[in-house]
Amino acid sequence: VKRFALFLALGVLGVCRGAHAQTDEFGSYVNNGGRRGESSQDAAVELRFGRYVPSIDKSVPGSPYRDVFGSSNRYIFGLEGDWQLIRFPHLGTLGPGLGWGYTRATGNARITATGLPSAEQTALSVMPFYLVGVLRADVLAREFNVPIVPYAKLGIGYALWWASDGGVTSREDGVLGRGISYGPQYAIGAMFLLDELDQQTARDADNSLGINHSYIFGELYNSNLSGFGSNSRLNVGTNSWVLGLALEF
Amino acid sequence: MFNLRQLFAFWAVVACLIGIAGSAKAQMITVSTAGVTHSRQNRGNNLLNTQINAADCAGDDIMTFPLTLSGAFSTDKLQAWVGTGCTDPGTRTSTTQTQCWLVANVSPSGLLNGAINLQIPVTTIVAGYTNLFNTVTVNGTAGAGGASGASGTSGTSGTDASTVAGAGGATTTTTVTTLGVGEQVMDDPKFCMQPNPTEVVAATNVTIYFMLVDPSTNAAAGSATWAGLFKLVGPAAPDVVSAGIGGNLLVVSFSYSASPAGASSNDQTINGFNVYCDPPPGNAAAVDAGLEAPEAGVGSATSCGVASSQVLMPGMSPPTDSAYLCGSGQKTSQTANARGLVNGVPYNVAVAAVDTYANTGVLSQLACQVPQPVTGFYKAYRAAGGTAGGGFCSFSRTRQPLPLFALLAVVAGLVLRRRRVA
Repeated sequence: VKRFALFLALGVLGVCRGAHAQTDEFGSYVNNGGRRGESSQDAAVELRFGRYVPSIDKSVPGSPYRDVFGSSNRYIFGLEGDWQLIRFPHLGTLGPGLGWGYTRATGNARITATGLPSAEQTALSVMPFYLVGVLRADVLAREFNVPIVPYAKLGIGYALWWASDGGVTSREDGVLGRGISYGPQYAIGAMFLLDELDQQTARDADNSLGINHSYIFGELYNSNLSGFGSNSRLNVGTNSWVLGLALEF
Repeated sequence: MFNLRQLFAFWAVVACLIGIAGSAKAQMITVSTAGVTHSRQNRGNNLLNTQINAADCAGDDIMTFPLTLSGAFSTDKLQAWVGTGCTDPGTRTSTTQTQCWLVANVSPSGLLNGAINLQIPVTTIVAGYTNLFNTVTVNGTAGAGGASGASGTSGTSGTDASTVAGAGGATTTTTVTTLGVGEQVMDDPKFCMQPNPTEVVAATNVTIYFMLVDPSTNAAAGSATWAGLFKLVGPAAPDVVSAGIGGNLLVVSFSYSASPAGASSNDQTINGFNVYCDPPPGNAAAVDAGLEAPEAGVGSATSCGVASSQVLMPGMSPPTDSAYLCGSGQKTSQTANARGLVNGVPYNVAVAAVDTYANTGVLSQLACQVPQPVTGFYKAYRAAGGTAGGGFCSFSRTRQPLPLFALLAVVAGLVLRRRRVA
């Protein structure tokens, strides 16, 4: 745990120099690895959608999640904002990213005596947050005109979860069915630069809205929200994929 | 030729007429719509002062209208009429009209200029829309069309009867109750009963005309109006109702089938649904009903017999005892949970729709079901040996939240570095 935190801190607080924008009467320019004529680039936002099946059944005997909610896929919607704090020449950007998502699984509770489905709805809602360091290697797009930007993320995930029966928060043996979970999270992915499809529109978006680049992306990620091995945390993390739209500005 | 005396007299008459006309123009009456109040307490936060519902009518609600009078003569009457086009004296003095009715008539001796609060019972306001002008249609026998009957005399109500030749030689006799000239409608609970309640799917506009009336001509010298809405009938009940098993609850499903013309499923004022249970929720009620042994906490039933209840009568109003209310749904809901029930006890449930005027409609057909213990996700997780839970603020006592502190340290480091760069 200590090594993980140290790595994250060094990565983000590394000795690399940050990018600085310079401005003249014709606007601002990125002076370190940027392309002349672009506005300064400081951040990215992602609109995310993907599969989300929590790893609950891996953390307890049996399969309570699958028994109640079935084995069909569940999905998550989310947002992420990145601060592109540091630019590495001939590599890309590095900075912290903060993400949020929401997913909910519902099913019919089983009649205890018969095992048949009842009419009562039981649900598990998960609202994951995460703070990660994001490295986006946009050197291919900037220096070799290859419209692909690979990236990697590493950090900590944190999730609120709550279970309900019949629309009311579950309670079993006097214990309220809601809590928090946390643990490490990492991801790798690649973004396709949409600017290449219509360069004039991309330039207009930069001039009028300050949007430097737009992408579609795919990402594989893993979040192990088991409280770093604690048996008192519901592992609502997952090992899954996500697709989305990203904008840099 | 005119002499001076005649000339003087002529101009004196002209001046007098001008003076009267000028005074008449100065007669004014205003009503403060924002200041209108109802005497009935606990009407609910969502019910506006411009809205009148069945509970107002049945609860002897009296509305108070703040009026301001100016320029009124001592001979003027302050009158309040309800209906349409009531400023027309011809309408108000007709003994056969049914479009305006007098609900307040302040005598000249009591009339003062300035502020006055005029109190009007709700029953009289809605009377002309409900049972004041009793219209009774009778299919008669074959015969020739007849002439109108005698009209009511001034000061008393009367009836008009007309016989019209119907199709195929049948006749139709219509009897209409009318009011005598100057006859004021009196408070009567029967006016809260709305004819053809199944056809009431919207609120009705109501206008009150406040007038300073010259008793010699019945002309309205000054007038003001107040506009409101009333609805005295709740929406029709859903006609498709069923109940599903839950743990200490029943999931009640309800809907309207393909609606026939005029059905209240088209009621645009529907604002929600109430679910009623017999026996009422709670262990005590189940014990009282003999369906649960004292201290047992559960009943022994696993299935329902034929749904029947002495309290929940389909097509009738819900019980006034709120103990029978066991659930509610939003206006777009098609299910609602009946809560607080005892597992193993058969429950009869019925649904009634509620409108935006806080009127509760009649009860639906009954459904019967028995709540039973169920296993939801969290119960299954705990049964599998999971120990997570307890709330968002709970932390394990055996492990410190070290990762969270590391996270905070990273964020703090970022902030400090940013400040140094700046």
